[in-house]
Amino acid sequence: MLKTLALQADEKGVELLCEIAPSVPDVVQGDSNRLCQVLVNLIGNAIKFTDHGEVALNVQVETEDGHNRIIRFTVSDTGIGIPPEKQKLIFQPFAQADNSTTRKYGGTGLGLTISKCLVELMGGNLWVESEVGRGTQFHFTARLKTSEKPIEVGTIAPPERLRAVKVLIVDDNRTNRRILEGMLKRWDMKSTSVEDGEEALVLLSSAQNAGEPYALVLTDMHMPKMDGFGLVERIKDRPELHAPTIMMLTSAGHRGDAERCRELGITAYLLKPIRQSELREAIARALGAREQTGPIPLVTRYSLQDARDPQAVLRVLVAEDNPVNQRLAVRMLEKRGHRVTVAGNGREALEALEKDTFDLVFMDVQMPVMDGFQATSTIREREKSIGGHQIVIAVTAHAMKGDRDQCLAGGMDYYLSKPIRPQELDDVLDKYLVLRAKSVIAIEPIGISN
Amino acid sequence: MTEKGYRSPQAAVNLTDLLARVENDRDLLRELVGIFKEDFPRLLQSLQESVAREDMKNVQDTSHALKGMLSGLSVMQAAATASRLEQMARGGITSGLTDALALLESQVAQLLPELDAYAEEAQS
Repeated sequence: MLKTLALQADEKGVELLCEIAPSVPDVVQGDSNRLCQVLVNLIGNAIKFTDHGEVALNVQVETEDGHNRIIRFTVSDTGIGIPPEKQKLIFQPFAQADNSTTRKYGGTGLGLTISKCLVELMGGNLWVESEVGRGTQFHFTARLKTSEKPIEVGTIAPPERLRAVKVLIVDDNRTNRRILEGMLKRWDMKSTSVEDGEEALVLLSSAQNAGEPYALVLTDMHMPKMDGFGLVERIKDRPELHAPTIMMLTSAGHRGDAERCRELGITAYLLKPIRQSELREAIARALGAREQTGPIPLVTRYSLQDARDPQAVLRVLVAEDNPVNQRLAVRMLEKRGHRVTVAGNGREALEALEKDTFDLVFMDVQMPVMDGFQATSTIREREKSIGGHQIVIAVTAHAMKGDRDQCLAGGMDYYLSKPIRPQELDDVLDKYLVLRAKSVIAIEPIGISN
Repeated sequence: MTEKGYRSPQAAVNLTDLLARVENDRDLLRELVGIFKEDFPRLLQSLQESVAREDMKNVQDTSHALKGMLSGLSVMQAAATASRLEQMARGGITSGLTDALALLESQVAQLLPELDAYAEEAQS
């Protein structure tokens, strides 16, 4: 979700940050769709009304009682702010802080009204604090349950590789430095933060002279004065610094960046805001790369996914007749390291299923020759004699109320609306992997959209 | 890539949404535009002929295909009109069909040059 918003933030030159307190459980039970809708609305608004500075999401536990947690989410920005007399009005339908706001920033004025309703449905409250010219903080709470069993997907980096490693964080954004420090501290890494390249060079040099060099430099790409590449060039020019492992974090990737990273010997190149699990895995791999000989491939979010447990590489059948959406689905799945076969209609999908086995079938509902419902019905009929249960994910362009029920009644296990969005795809793939890891045979249908 | 096209009031494509969908992969964006350019004129022509003949089955099929392509490329208003045409055809409603087609035609009039511009920017 944050990755998508990060693109919007990057377009405006606004930093998007995310900080989750260590006390917040990794997995909670609740309505993820509603939660996402509220967060997307609040963060999207914050980006819209902020021209300089940052938008930050902070998550913490407010109270806990057994398995119940009241989690507080705060979205703060350094934007234009809302005058006190308008702060109550903004939760009313079609109201915006100022009529000119609609002209300048667009929007219907319904987003906050809907968010407030959704938050109340989740047993929480939504409120605002703001100062004109300084920024705004939207807070909301939600009652969520902790999951009885911790769920872990993908490879988890061994903590011993990270423990006590000296890391230098270089980032001009204070909040971002704090977030990175927090993550590294959680893994028992020893971090120091500086806000620019010059300061980094001084520290690297003094640590080297003291015989306690930094093993890892975690640097931001976009910084005033000296950018990330500039810093790396300066480090490389000074062989006495014994080239620590360097990881680059960037708000937006640009053509040629990966090539430049390879030329400069940068070990990892990652997009912000970075997920905690992604950073941990990337650091473990980057540090592990030091022990290897020969050419070392650049660690990126994609290579991290490629390096997943082979069990997490899925064989996927995409049944879709529309060439644009077919290509989109195939590439999205391939980028996640999965092996994809394509069928142009339901009949072709059945033929492919006779020849091969698949973990998942993405089944477009409306296709020529044989539609998704007929194909799924045939699959279920076959299973009556041969046994087993093929997971079928309905993909529908209808986006109409009742679609989900119709798909589930038609024997499909999950439901996605077209065009498929990366976050929704990740959700459904993660859910499948988690359920498979738990060896659940009878899978309870889980709707992802609408 | 600049966002000039998206900021233009005539822009049919929601570029922010599209870039998010392709996960900022400019090569994929170019590839999708290429596929679209191959199929779109043929589909639009087929839809125009089907509306003229009031061949509702074909109107339904072609507008469904157009809707899928347009929404895949974040051409949301035109995708909504294609969806309306599909629903009208499914319900056998002929009145207003020509108007809906005219609206779709106007919404996609500048679409190919706009997509070309994005694809070109993605290449540079």
